[in-house]
Amino acid sequence: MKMANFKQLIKKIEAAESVHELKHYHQELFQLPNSPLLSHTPVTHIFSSLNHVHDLLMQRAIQIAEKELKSLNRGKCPEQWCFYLLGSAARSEQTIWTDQDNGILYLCSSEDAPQCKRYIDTLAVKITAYLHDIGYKYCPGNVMATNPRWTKEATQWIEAMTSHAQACSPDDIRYLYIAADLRPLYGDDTLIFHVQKQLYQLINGSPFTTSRMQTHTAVPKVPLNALGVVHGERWGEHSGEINIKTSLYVPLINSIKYLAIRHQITATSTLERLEALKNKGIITERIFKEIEEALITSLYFRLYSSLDKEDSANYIHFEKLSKQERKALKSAMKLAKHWQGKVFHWNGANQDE
Amino acid sequence: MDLKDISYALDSLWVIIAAILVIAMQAGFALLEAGSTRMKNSGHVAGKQILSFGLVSLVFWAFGYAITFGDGNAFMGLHGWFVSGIHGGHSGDISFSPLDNGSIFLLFQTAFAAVSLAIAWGGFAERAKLVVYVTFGIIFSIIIYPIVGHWIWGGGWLAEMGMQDFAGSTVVHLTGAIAALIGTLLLGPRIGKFNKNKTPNVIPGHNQVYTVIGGIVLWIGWFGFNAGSTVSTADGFFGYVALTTNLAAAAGALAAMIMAKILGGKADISAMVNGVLAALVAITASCAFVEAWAAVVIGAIAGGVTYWTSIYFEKKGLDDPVYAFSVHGIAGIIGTLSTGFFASGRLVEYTGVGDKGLFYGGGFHQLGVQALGVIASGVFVAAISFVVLFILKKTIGLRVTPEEEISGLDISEHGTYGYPEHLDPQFMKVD
Repeated sequence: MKMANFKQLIKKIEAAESVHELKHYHQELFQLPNSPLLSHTPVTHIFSSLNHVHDLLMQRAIQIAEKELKSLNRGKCPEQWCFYLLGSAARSEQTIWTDQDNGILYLCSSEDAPQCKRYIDTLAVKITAYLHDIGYKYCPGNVMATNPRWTKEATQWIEAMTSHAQACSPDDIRYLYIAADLRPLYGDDTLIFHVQKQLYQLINGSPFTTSRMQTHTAVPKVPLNALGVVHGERWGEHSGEINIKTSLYVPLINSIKYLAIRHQITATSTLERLEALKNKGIITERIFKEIEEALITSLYFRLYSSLDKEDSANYIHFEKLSKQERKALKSAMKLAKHWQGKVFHWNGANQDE
Repeated sequence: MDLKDISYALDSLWVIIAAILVIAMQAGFALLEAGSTRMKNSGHVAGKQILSFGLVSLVFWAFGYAITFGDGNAFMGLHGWFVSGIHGGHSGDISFSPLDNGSIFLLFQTAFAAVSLAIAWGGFAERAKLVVYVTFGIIFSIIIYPIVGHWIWGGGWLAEMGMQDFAGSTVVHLTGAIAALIGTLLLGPRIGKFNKNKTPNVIPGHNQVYTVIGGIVLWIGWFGFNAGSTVSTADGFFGYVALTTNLAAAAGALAAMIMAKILGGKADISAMVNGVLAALVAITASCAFVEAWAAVVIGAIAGGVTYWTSIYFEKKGLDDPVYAFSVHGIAGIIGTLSTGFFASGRLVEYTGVGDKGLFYGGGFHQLGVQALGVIASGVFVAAISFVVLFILKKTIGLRVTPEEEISGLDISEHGTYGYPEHLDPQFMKVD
């Protein structure tokens, strides 16, 4: 697959008329491992193209579902609604293999509420089923539009988030972190921007909530000890390997996400968040560059760990990497560990150490 | 009663207390091993300690003691079957021991033999047939343990060479551990331990508190094991041996925890317990020959190294459920070799066994003797254990059926669960 092929693929997806066609185009992404593109294209460009394709595939699936639903006459279409993404999809950091993380928000007058709910619930089932048919597996954690937690009337969604921000149990904090990534994919995006702003305000309005969210950045820990030894998995199918997602990627993205929320940065891509933090003067140019490099390293290994086969996505065998790769990974893990500690103790001041 | 009588009475009392402490180590093994294995095997794993101790008590009295300590040749003892001639008191027909009262020393040594067999069982855990425990236990207590014991403690050829193994890093621990290793190899891994790609799975013990308490009981019992091996009180040397024992154990605990944190990223509790035990195993040979600082070094090395070896052997496909070979075998080797380096001149002179170590200007002589003792004992135990277990494997079979293993040995071998309320049979059916 070449860059030009990406453009051709995009055109074909835009013209697709059925879920079956979309499934076929989704499978073209699996050719990426054999592509010369990988060796001479910056990782960020690959992610950008890849995620653009994922977005288009999902948007076309939603259009098809919406069109079919209108002809079925199930409930009433709300005045405003938007299908949004969460997780790596929302951050435009999906690899080849990716499951679903999504939801729907809508606005509806109270007298039409039951009919609107019926329409949206039916739509949610249809969309998630089509996405599954195309190749986006159902989310094992049930962060999907079919889960009432993530598909709600917008004011109710804000109410639910408010109660999470008040309760602050570990699960509540986890939900707030998940919600903080929301990115509109299809429909009325102003609805999403509006609730995102409200979400950030309600989190920042409670010192207890922000403090709990800050504590949450301490896990998962980067498995690198003071002597620079990387700890692989001890047991299981991936014994001796490293889970790149929990060992490097998540520690980085969570700590950056926390600072983004604290500084009302609405961008959802981690690189964009990082850039915004730099532009706002929260982090210095030097720190920005260091973290950017570590983040790109994590994206590189995430992409490469997903190339072989779906089952082993996220796992890499440290000892099987080239010397240069080992050095880059270790350096990124060291930086991530240091950065994670800094964010954990962040007191709001510009810290350049 | 003159001073000699008082001294004799005190020595006798001390050795019988030490014997009781070593016998109490069976409780430690029961807790340690049951805690480190699964709930469905807990009654079996704990209960076999009583089986083991009962069996050793009879067999060692009848044959084992004579082979270990009886008059004979450089290879084995040949007199004193059923400890014949022991009447107690100062004057027996035969006297095998530093103490005239053979019955006390028999009890003390029985406890040691039982510890060695308990170690061997660790490698058999969770999949061996009960009949194998009985059969192999008898042979182990008649042939394997006593012959090695005779070589080193009973005036055999290694004793003649001046091998230093004060309380049995080789005689008790390495012997048991080599038998455990052969058992582990011939039995094969437990169902579910390894994946198709040969990566290991964790089979966690069901009760870490038991494991910890077991470790503490063993630590306490070890004062009988090592300090009791002075078999005298008059000069207070047993106090010094108790000190080196304790220092090593303490260093082993910390070293293992640090090693676990460095290599595994987590301060693993089981690793810390095993670190204590490995250190105690290592100091067992050297407790009377080394200075206090050296005891700390030996304990730390044993605690740290055996954590690494336990992971290494697991990666290589060895399913040793309670890490018996690392904790008792590798640490036994470390401990036995340690006197070759650390045996101090003054303590060697005091104990009158062997020569001083490399670091005290003794050259390589003692190290060579120690290494020879390790190799000879290891090869002997491995060979006999292999022959016996291989014959058992080909005749009665070593291992329970997969269905029995999945159901658990409590129900399949003994008829009742160790935790009946938690293991309703309807959840234990095999498809």
